[in-house]
Amino acid sequence: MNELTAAIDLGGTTVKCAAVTADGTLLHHSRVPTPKTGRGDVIEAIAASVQTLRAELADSCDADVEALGLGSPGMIGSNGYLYGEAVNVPGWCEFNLAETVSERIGLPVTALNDANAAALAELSVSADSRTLALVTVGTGIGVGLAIDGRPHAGRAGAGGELGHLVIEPGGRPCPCGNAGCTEAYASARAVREIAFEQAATWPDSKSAFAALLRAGGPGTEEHRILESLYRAVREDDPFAFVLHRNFCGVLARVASILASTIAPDRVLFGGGVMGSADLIIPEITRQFGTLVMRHVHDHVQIDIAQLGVDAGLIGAAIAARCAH
Amino acid sequence: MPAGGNKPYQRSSNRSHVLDALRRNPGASRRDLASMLGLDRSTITLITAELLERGLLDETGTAGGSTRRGRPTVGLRIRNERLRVLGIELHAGGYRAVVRDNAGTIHARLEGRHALRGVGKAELTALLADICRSAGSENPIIGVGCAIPGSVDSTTPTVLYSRELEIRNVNLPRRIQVDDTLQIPVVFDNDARCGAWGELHYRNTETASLIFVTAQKQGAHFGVGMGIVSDGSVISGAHHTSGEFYSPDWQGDERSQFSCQHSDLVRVGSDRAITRTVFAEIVRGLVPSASVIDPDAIVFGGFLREHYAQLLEVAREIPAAASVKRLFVPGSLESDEVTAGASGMFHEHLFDVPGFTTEDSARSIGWDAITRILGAA
Repeated sequence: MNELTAAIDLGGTTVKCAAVTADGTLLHHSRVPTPKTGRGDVIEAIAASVQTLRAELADSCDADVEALGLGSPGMIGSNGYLYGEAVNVPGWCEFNLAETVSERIGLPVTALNDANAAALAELSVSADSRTLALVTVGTGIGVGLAIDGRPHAGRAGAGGELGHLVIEPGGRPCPCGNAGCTEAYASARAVREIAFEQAATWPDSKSAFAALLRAGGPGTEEHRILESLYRAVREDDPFAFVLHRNFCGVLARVASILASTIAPDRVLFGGGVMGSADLIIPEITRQFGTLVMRHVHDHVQIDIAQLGVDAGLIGAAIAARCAH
Repeated sequence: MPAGGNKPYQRSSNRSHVLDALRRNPGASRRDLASMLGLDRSTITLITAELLERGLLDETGTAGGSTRRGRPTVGLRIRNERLRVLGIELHAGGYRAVVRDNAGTIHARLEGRHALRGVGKAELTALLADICRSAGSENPIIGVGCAIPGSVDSTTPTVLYSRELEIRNVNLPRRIQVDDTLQIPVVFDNDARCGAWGELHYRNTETASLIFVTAQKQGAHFGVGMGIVSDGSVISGAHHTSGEFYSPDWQGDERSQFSCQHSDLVRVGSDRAITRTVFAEIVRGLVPSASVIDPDAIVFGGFLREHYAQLLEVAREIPAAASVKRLFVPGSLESDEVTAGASGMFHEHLFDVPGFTTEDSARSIGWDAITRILGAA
């Protein structure tokens, strides 16, 4: 039996758990809803998932796990401490996550930010790469960093926090209370809002996308708007193309900041919107080339993330294996 | 974690782990080391006996506590004063250098003129050997750390491009021949990264991440570079291009990186308005990099350290800089930042645990070479 590591990917809605082999295969994958009743219940849900996993491993192959890798939302330092608050998980605020879970389950625990875990997993399948940044575009923008094969947490777990970097001082309001953040321009939520705001300025647009925006109502959820937007881009709708170009422009700025600072071998983009990666990645790459020095541009590859929803589990296991 | 398996690697790795543990815990006993590293007491006894015999360790009286037989335990320390390294900063007109030991004491300062524009490997190697000889001291120099302005691949090692030295793709030596019998190891990096190595090595506080920002002004040329520390190590990035200063106002055109013409940059420092413009862009440009790194400190070197008060004054007027300016500090090594940083880089590599990858091996200096040098003296 391969050396096994337990992995947890904690999210706002589910606690995912699996045993991960050294080659990244998941065994006994499970998921339970994330309790909404406070920190203690979330810790118990994690402990119960790990306990069930260990019992199943013992039954099926007389094996056990040596450590737990725990990917979680929030700013988590390299000491396993959760700084500040992760708003999607009740009570997930200012405590040593790794120590608390380790004491509860009796295994060594490595806790890290879920975006950093996913970046580590992507790095493990990226040949010839030592450093990688993963930008996940969803309702917000999350950035995970794996530098020289290790997750980068920074002083207080805020490394890679580019979603709320102000790129347009005094610009669009952001749900964080600030204005002009990257998330206010290039998240799925922001693209939807901007599309609605600007639809009236393109009265001649005959695309189904423009019609959807004018009609409003059902069918205008974030993912539907983005699907419709990219169908319109393929049909050469000029309104959709402007939105696409501006959206990619902000993501290119994010990539250029990452490239100039840490020079990753790859900047990968993930998230639901990457269903249209064939349009998005080339446009980000084109604009990225106008924002950085040529030698930086030549050496940093912009691409789509390879792993899907299991990346968080695989990366958490890698982190635990490296630490113990 | 100490290694098993491959025996020569295991021996070398365990020795490196012991030395690294003693660097971080001076005065630790053999029992402490065994417990810290998860190694057998017999393995620790063998390794420390060898290191004591080779003059790399001292016994330091009692470490507190006692053995099971009631004898007081003996502490161990690295003889840092023997680990003297020559740190060299090259520039177009010559070099500056210091001889610094691992305790931080500077034993000599050197400076010399030498036209280095267009220099090749052979001439550079001969110059480094000359500097070593002229730095001669009763205690041998165990290695050289050398800072080169420009883009440097520290693993091959190669100068990829140096605008100041007007060279491109020049291979660099891994060892230099000081006399008929003595070869000493040499490591290279660019000047900004050497500044970061220096801050990392000599800072008194535990530092996981840091940004070292330096600027050099030479005639009309004004360049800004950064050395980035992540997880306790200076990073190079893809093709050694990390730490490229990013101006938020640069449009990718032919103007300077800053909102003024190249010809205006000659007046940075003397013209108040131009200085403020350039410093404001530097401060605003640091905000995105600080968001990526979340550093413990942003340390200023070179021209920015010399004009630190003015830089701070500009930063106070920039609302977007509120989150980063509390991290600002001037470089602690002052005018020795690059030379001492280069020696600190050597010391840091010396304590690296040898790895299996090509890149790890390329960076690794190895204690065997050091004990040979110390033994030959």
